[in-house]
Amino acid sequence: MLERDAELMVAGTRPSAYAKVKIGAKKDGTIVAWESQAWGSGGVGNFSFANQLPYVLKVADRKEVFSVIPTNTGPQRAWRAPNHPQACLITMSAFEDMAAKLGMDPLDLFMKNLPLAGVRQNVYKDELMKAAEMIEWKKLWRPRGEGAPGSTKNVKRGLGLSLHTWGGGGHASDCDLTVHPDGTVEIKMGTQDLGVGTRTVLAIVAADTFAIPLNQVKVHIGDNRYPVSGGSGGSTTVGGISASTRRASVDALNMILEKVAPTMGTTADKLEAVGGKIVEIGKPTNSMTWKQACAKLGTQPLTTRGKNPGKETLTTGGVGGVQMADVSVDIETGVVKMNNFVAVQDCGLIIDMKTTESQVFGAMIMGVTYALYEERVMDDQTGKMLNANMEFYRLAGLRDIGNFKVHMMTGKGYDERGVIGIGEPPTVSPGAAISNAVANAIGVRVPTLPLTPDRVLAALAKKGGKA
Amino acid sequence: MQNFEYASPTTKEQAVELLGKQWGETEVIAGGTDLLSLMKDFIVTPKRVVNIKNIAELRGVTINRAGGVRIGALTSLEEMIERLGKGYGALTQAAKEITSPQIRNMGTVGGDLCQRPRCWYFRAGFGLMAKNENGEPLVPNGDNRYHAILGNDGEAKFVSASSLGPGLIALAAKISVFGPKGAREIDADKFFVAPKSASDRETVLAPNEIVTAINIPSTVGVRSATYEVRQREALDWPMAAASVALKLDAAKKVTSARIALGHVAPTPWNAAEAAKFLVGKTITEDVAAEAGKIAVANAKSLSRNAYKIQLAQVAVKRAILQAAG
Ligand SMILES: Cc1cc2nc3c(=O)[nH]c(=O)nc-3n(C[C@H](O)[C@H](O)[C@H](O)COP(=O)(O)OP(=O)(O)OC[C@H]3O[C@@H](n4cnc5c(N)ncnc54)[C@H](O)[C@@H]3O)c2cc1C
Repeated sequence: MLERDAELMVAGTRPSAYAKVKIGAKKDGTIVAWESQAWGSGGVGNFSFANQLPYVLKVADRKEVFSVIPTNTGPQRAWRAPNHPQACLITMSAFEDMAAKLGMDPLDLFMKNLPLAGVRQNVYKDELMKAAEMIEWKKLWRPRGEGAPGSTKNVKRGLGLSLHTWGGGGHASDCDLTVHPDGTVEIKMGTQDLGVGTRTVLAIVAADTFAIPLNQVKVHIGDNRYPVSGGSGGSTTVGGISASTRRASVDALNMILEKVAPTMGTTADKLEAVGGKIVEIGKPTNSMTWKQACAKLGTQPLTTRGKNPGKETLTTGGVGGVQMADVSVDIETGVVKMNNFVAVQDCGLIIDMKTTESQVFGAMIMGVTYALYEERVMDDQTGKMLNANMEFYRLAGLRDIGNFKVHMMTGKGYDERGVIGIGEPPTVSPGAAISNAVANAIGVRVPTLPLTPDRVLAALAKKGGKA
Repeated sequence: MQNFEYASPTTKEQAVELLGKQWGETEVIAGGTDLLSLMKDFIVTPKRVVNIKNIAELRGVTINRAGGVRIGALTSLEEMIERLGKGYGALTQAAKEITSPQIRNMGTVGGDLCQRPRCWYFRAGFGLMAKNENGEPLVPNGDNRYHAILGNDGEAKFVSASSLGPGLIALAAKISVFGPKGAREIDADKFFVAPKSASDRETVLAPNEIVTAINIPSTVGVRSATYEVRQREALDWPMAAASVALKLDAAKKVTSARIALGHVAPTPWNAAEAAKFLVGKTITEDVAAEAGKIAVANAKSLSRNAYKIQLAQVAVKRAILQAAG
């Protein structure tokens, strides 16, 4: 385990990316051309970034150049959605700037250009509408620099939006599931819980399949002796582990149904597990408790191995999300405060709403952090990191984040896609949404994250000091 | 952390005996919220740590009839806030902004005044004057975004970290100190000094002197306030701050004023010119803004901290308006 300073100095970072962007649009807001010259540094390592621009909204006529500049600093690391937050900021701020230039509401401009998002354009459309409703966009949004309602002489309020994507999916995973004759269930899997609720999700999948209470399922993870499951990266954990567990559970259930069918005077295909019982479909009086059913195993527990990938598809990849931020900026001090922050996200079939929403909340907190505070400060003279501590390496606290609202897209069009993964997607948009909100509030783009008072004041000064 | 000897005297006389004659040999520990991190990072490496928490007479807050107050050096920030109530806005507003609650409960008033600078070169081991191994100063050509804009002509470019310092200067407080030659009282304004070398400290204390109490004269008729520009709401120091104390006559004209800036100079910064400007005036937004300008008239930015001039100016304006309002 590294201590905080070593962690910050050598363990790697989410490297900065910079870009000069030119975009062309028709008067009605249709974006028709993109040109970007971007650069960044992956420290001592590489920085693979080029294919990301323009982000999500793939303008057909485009030219991108990306240069990698090696430096003697810690390498690029897979920090929650590698490359996406940078590409998202560069793209969404260019689109927002174009909306301001055209005197258009950016919500309308983004809506108009959704065809550029390809297969997920309808998802984004639903999400934009939902997010706009949650943040009261139509009521509160004002043209750039006018200040949303509630603005005062010194404090300007503004709204901004952004959209993002991520792959997700399900990694390879093996699951050993044992049903004991007393009806309890054990899961063994060589996976890990990064604090995201892996244990909860595994137990829910098995308990749901057997229709038994959650406390009947014991989960064992985090040990090499258990069957191999992939590393946690790319938001592929929940997809992998839930699929293998589901298959192991279904196989085990089918074997138990086979065992009890003769006693119940029917065949296994006519039985199902509901409410702690095995029941004949359409004839609920013919039933047996789960415990009685498992007792039929005799003295021998039943163990099945579930695998992902398997025959059928239980997971897919590719999600879309929209975020909208409502901020206030003190134009005398350059201090940015979050008012409201809304995230609308899809991630296929949701196994547990609370753990899913918690992932989004966490991403939003770290998103406010990198939008407003977080930055590695290197000293050019000594090559030392000056803020490898908890003090100047600022993270947002509870008093800094404002009000968060999360909405997960569910139901038709979403659930049937299977389990996808949520860790990374919601961390992509905060920088862009908050930067856009600040530009909307103060009437000028602050070109660099984090949006610290010195940078906000410098942007205002360039514009003549007035919002 | 380097090994050290621990002493826990029960009288101030014993404490002073136990303290060394050179800075660095020994350190006083009160709440320990700053000293422990300095020791863990090897920024200070005392041979002996002298715990003053068992010295009963350093505790307690006494408010006298005339409205003057004595605050023992060991009083926690939280206890001070609770005991003082409303009449000492410049001090209590500053203290309330120090977070977290744990810091306010452990941190003492004396410790706040004597806490060491947060300069990131100092805290990274480059010494109080922030020099590289060849003795070249690092701040002027380095990242000085949080460094001093006033009083930065000398080698010390860091900013005083104490938020209470400016409040005490505004309220014309005196600091009681005890040393081998006995007790003395120092104007809050004279207590802080910009050190001339890395082996000096940021106050007039001798290595074997301790702060015993703070004395604030009667605040009857005094309106005071502190305004701090903070980027983050919690667990952070201000980027600039101003404490203001005003007396107004029946016609709301200023009869006397004191203004001190925080976190912009190696010491809390007494903005006497700006205060003088206010006398005889009625406080309006324009008057307050003009005082803000005067307060930073002699400010000199380093390569990256010009924005702090603006922050300090705004802090002065807002503190004046709050105090008058
Ligand atoms: C996250 C965080 C945020 C903070 N934010 C702020 C802020 O916004 N504003 C602010 O002003 N402070 C801030 N502080 C600092 C905090 O107020 C101080 O750490 C605290 O007041 C120090 O008191 P202490 O009793 O713990 O001191 P110690 O850690 O015990 O001592 C600090 C220094 O003072 C010396 N000392 C202590 N008492 C005496 C005495 N009676 N006589 C002589 N020397 C003495 C010690 O030798 C040591 O060098 C913050 C601290 C933290 C950790």
